[in-house]
Amino acid sequence: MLNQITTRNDFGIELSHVIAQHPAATVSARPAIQGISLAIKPGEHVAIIGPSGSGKTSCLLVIAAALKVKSGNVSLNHQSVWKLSTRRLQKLRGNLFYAPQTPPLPPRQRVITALLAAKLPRQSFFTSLMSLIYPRDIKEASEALGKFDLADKLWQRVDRLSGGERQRVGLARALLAPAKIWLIDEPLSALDPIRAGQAIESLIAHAEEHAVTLITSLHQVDVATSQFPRVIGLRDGRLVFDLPSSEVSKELLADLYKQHEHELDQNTPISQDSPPEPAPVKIIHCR
Amino acid sequence: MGRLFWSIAIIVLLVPALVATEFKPWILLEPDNLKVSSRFLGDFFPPATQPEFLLLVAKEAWRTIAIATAGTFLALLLAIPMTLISTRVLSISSLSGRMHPLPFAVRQMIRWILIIIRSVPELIWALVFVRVVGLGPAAGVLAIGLTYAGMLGKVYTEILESGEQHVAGNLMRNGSSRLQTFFYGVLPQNLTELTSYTVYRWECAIRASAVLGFVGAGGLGQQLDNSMRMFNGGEVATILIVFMLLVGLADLLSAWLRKILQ
Repeated sequence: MLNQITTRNDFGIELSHVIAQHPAATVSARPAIQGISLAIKPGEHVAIIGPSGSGKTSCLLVIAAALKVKSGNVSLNHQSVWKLSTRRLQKLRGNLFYAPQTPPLPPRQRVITALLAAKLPRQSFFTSLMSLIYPRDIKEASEALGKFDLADKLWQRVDRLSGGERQRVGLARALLAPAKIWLIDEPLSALDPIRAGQAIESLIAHAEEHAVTLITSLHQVDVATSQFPRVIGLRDGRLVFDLPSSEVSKELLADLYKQHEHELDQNTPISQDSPPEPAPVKIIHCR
Repeated sequence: MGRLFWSIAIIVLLVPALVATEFKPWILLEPDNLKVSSRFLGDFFPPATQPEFLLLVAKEAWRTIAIATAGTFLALLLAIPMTLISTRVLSISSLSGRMHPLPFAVRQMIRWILIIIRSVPELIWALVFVRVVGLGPAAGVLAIGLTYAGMLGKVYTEILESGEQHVAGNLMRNGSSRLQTFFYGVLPQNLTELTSYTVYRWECAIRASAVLGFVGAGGLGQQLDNSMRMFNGGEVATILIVFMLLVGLADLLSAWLRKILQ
């Protein structure tokens, strides 16, 4: 049994006829994902684009085994995810790294600790507790942070960082995670174009080096088509196209963003000086 | 409309409550009662300051602190594991949809245990333990430990569940264990609130140990009981002043802890 799993440990992704609804949504609401089938090979780099509310985040959550499907099948590493026991599913999740758009960083934590939290799935409880007292892997964390131009923030507290810095710390966590699949939701939403270019290049370079499957949802269509070999277009929870980026034409994009043209126009090439999107508002409760 | 309804409802509910508790504050001002209370209060001044009495009070005050501290510590030993088991924030199965039936049943059971141990007042526990372990501080420690475990467990769970759960959910979704998630995601979010509540409970334990002293569980309370029985107002005043100092101390401690954890 064990042997079988190790020989097949390639972490391919297969979705077939998936219908999924966000748990917070009302029962009668239209499902966020309406019958998506796709397969992603190990080590592929895929960008998911589409207008707001098209189901990009839900799609990532489905692949991340975080959003339970209503019907259809999700299989990761040749295992049907929702047929696994909670324990085995949790083990499988250790191979996935899902980074939400708002980086999940506790405000009073130091950056180093927030970064090292990404390594938890492969650490024993005792080791992780010791690491809380005296951080392990300081060098690795510092290098990961350096890729996002933040090496000097290693010992800062998270609530002293700006929105953009927090987002980059959230991305740097991916480099430390022992994951085979990265699912990164809107990695560039709080970054200015130069930082955005640097961030996406660091992610791609690391993913390539470590044979990690990289799937991101993106608002920046030009980044998607220029940096990713494969682009998936979503609209209203359905697959509109799934093509090599060279075949994604202007017409296809115009069609995908029909009635949402402002989202398409807004994201002119990275080198141009478009104003950065406002940082996501993170509510820090006073306690 | 709703507001009017609730205002009337509260008044309607309050009146029978006042009748039932024979709430008649004006009897305090009747001449006979005034004489008694003013004599008792008059005795308070001057507070007793004989060196040997002060030494005794200091010793008992130290014992009170010890009872409260040991009791709170015992409560923590019981409450922390129960909080970890019962909080929904650390449920892996509820990450995607509904919690599984077995963990749900375990959580409910822990909640009921917490309700049972805190619904018995510490005074009753103390009366029980005085019979089991004999007169003295040990009974007070056990009584405070049990009741406060129930309170701490309940409030800790509520603090964790009302806090931001984004980080904890993300850590577990990425494959971290429940305990790792607690230390890396939940604790940093809630530490100051948990600490200040714990210190407040410690302060309550100091006051509770006064009451427990009356049933023979040691500490300042027992001394207070003795002085009251002997109608020694001065000694009562001194002991009350020491109580105020202790509570003030707890307040300072809490403020200081919050500041360094901030």
